Amino acid sequence: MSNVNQSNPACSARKRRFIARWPLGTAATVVVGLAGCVAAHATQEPLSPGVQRLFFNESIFYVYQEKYFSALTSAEVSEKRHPLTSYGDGAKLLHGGLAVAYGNRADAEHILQPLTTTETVEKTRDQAWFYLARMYYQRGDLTLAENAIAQIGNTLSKRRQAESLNLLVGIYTQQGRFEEALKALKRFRGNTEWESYARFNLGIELLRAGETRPGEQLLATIGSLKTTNPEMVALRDRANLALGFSLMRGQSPNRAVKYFEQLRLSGPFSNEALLGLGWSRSARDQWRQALVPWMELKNRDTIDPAVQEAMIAVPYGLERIKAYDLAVDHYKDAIAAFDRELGELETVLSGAHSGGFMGAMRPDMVNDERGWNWRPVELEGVEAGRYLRHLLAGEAFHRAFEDYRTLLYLEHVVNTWELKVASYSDIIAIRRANYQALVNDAERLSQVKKLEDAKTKYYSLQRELERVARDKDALALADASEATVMKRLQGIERQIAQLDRQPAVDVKLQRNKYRLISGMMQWNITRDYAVRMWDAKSSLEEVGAALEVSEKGKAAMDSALAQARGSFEGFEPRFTEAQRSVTSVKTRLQTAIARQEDHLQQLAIEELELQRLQIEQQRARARFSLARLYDKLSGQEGARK
Amino acid sequence: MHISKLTLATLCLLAAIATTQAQDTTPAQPGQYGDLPAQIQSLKNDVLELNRNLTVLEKDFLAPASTRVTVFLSMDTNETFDLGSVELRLNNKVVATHLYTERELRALQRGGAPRLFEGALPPGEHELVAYFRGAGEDNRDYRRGLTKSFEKGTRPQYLEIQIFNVKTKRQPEIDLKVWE
Repeated sequence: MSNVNQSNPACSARKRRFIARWPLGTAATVVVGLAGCVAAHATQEPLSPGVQRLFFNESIFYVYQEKYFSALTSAEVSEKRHPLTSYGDGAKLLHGGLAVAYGNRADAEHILQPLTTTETVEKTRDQAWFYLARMYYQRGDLTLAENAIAQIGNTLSKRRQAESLNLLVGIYTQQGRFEEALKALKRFRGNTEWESYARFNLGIELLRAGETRPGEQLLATIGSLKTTNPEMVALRDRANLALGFSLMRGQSPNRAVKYFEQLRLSGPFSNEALLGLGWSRSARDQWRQALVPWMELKNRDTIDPAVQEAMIAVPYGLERIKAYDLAVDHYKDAIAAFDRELGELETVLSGAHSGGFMGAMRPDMVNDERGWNWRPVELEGVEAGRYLRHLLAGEAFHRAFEDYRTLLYLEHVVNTWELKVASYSDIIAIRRANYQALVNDAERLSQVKKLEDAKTKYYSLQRELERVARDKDALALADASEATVMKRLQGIERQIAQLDRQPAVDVKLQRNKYRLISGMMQWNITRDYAVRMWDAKSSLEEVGAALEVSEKGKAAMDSALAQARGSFEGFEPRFTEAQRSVTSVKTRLQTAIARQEDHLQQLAIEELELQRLQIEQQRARARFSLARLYDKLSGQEGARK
Repeated sequence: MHISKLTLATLCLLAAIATTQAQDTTPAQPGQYGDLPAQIQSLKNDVLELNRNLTVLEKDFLAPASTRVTVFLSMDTNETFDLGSVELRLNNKVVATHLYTERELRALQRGGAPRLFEGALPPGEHELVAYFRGAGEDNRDYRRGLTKSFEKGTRPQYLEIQIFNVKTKRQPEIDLKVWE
């Protein structure tokens, strides 16, 4: 979990903020613990369990990268095409957990609620309650969240138990139920990071509520953490800083020094610590010692309010040790620095008003789902970047910017689909044209016609052969030469009949000859009937077999044609509908992006104007102090004279 | 003078620290942009649904079930093996290449199984070739190829390229699992 891109300050900053809410991130832990309850549900499936595992682990691949959009898409596509039933409720639990992480609370509740019944395996049920608790907490339904936590049994991992306890402490804290929150803290087992965050958050809230002693006690436990974990070290710094200022407020500068000194000099809170350290020493009239941290601080970036404060504190300290000339110089330096800063701020503000600020804010890469590669513009040498760092540190701006980056990524997804759908529409047109060409191919049509003719002839012959067999019509089986002879005999018979009608002609001899020949002919054919019939049947069978081969060829061709038709038919309306959806969503996205840019710009301008006001006030203070010092010095001069 | 300002500064700083603490609830934002978070979430849900439906449609369109071949990658190795890249060929045609980021590698090592390829192949025998590059134990250069044939029927074909450790060897092995 600690593999945050440490070389990317923006990522680290985001991570820190994220961690402050969910120590070690909830992301990759969405599915931790699923494996156990998953294995318990194996059932018979259309896809083999091995293949189901692949689809499940494809979602997991994205989960571990905190890419919830891809993970959800993968899970939902699997659910639609081939549900991972061998995972039982595990797949639903994954889906529900992902929906919570994606912010789709309605779906999450719809998926997770059915898993909380007593019919569900206890481990799965506990996980479902846990996700629901987290979701209710996120949306501010503290009562529902508390109830959900109360339903969780004891099957959660230690880490999850600690996280749910942190939620419970958070609920009590937000409701001002500090006694119960303190009791809940005692339920932590083992020294977990969740416990540290719970202690820190409760400690801060107690201080804010005026419960100084228990608040400071809690923060002191965090301030003395022995750890090398960068997240915990940062939390320790924050605790010590809060303790230091709390003690200063309580008029205990002696004790405050210790906590300010424990902060790292290069950490994100070092400026405030140096300022506080100087104040705590000055409160004990140790002005020379107070000047040491302030002098270090005043050389840092002027945009930081702590640095601005130090720029005035330094000459004031010098005044107190009677180094008046130096104090005058430092007041003048401060005024000059504030003038410069105000000039630069004016330029940045002007740019922000004209929209240039948002141009600099727009990430170069929008195809990165998690935005790991996004870097704040100050790293790119843009002047506005100096101010962006402070803007990003603010929760409201941070959330708004995350939403903005998400919208840009979604727009990238939709743009990609727009291109794809257009190209698929082209493919449909090509496939349709190919199909039509195949359907209309002359050679193919001619072959099909011949085959149809042959089939007609074949069936006709088949019927004729059946009739011959039925009627024992042997003569129908005469071969071609015999048929010719028989035809000639029929002609001879007609001639004999004509001659016989003439009184002077005697055709008795010819008639006898005809009868003899005709009889012999019929006898010969009838004698070979069986053989002839067998030959005829065999020949017809050969034709049938040949036709069958041709039929198969035609069937294959028909199948190819059907496949070709299937490759586009039915898809056209689906892609047309998809195109409509893409266009509609894209329009809404563009509107939302424009509004979000306006929103960010407004936040930026408000922040920049606030910074300007602060610096103007600091400049006024410096000018006033300088004037006061001049008066004092001239008064002393007058007194000497 | 400074004491009162100090108190003010202290309060401001304390307030600043306190506002960055754990606050996971998302209160409604007042003003002209108050409806934006809900609008954005609604868009997120709609794009997710669109993406899901189009993914299904694309798969049906480009690789119908009868011709579909899907290749996954899985890894069961210790953390000393850093996979750098993979190139996948089917029937001597490059169908997928990928360079792994550190995050992807960690996700693989923790059990994730990315899909390397999904496409259409006709029934019959096909050849799969995969080339892997990375760094093994002691950061030694690791290059390995895998060549396997498989028979594609008329049902969807699922293949898993497995990278796994062998006790007797210092470098991980690669194999192809053809799922029925």
